[in-house]
Amino acid sequence: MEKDVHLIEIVDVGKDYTSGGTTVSAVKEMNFYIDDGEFVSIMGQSGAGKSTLLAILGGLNHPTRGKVLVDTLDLYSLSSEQRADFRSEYIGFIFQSFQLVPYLTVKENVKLPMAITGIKTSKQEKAADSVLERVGLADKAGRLPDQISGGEQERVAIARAIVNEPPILLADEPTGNLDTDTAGQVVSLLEELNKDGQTIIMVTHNPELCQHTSRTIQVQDGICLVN
Amino acid sequence: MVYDLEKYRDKREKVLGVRKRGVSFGTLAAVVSGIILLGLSSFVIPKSLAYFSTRNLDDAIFKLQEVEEWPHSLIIELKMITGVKNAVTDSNNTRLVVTFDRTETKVNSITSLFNDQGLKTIMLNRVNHNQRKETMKEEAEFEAL
Repeated sequence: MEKDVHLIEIVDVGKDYTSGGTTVSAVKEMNFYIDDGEFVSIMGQSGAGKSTLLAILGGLNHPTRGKVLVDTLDLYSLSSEQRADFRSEYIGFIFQSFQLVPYLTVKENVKLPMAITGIKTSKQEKAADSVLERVGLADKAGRLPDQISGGEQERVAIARAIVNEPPILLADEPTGNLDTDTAGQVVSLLEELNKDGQTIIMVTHNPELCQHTSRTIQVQDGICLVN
Repeated sequence: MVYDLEKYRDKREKVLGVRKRGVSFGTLAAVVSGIILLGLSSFVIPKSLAYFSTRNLDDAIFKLQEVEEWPHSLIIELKMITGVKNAVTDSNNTRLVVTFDRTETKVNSITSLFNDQGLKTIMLNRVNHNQRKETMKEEAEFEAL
């Protein structure tokens, strides 16, 4: 019988940290899969291992054991160069603290991932205009990050994350720094992207946000409780 | 839900390096290095080959003491001696330069042929073949000035 294939498969993944002779398991053992087009939230308290799991999914943190398969690619058997290519081709990151470059305009921030992957300038302009239109910031393309609100900065971060059309969007507490209304707008934007087929994995400790997602993976003390 | 493996094939191939994106730095560096090496070797290899093929050659320069011209038959006979690579007279036909491999023959073998034919000769000089060629080249350049 043919094995089921999923966009993301986490197989017996664990991550230990050793410090001063003491080993701590941030992720003990996790097994789950995520299909293409899903909007999945990973929920848990601080220190539950959510962000470690997200970093492992994004090819940023080598697990101590287990396998991470993305589009059949065994992520941690790839070379570091291949894994860097994987991140630029497959993953869009959205951070809680936005991580925008303060001296670049909104549009230049959005164009940054395309410049790194060597996309032609004319194509960069077109794609940046298109995503800024999509996140409702076309009129603020020329502003610097500190000249726009926190919610708008988060939308710029989302635009930057999707501009290379990655199959997977990883969001680490995307509304953590926003007020309730602005957080709602950002989640609505993520829902819209998901309706258009974007796979989104969102780490949060806010149960209200999980209501907007199609599935919740509950993480506690480094293990999946509910999937 | 059935996963469509074709959907992200392009991305997968890029990651695995199946699909190349332009010329990598490594390839470019290899091509440039190759061109430089090829250019250098086109100078160095022929010179090295020439050096190794002529490093054992000496030139012995003879002058006749009594007769005025070197007999043509002598030059043919000289060339038949094992180790003698060449024998040429100068433009006035007064001096004879014999190029020979010192590992294969000695000057005595040449002079004994002159004695057999009753020719009284004097050896003016014996120098390394390459050294003499260099000297002649420098003289020619000097005269051209």
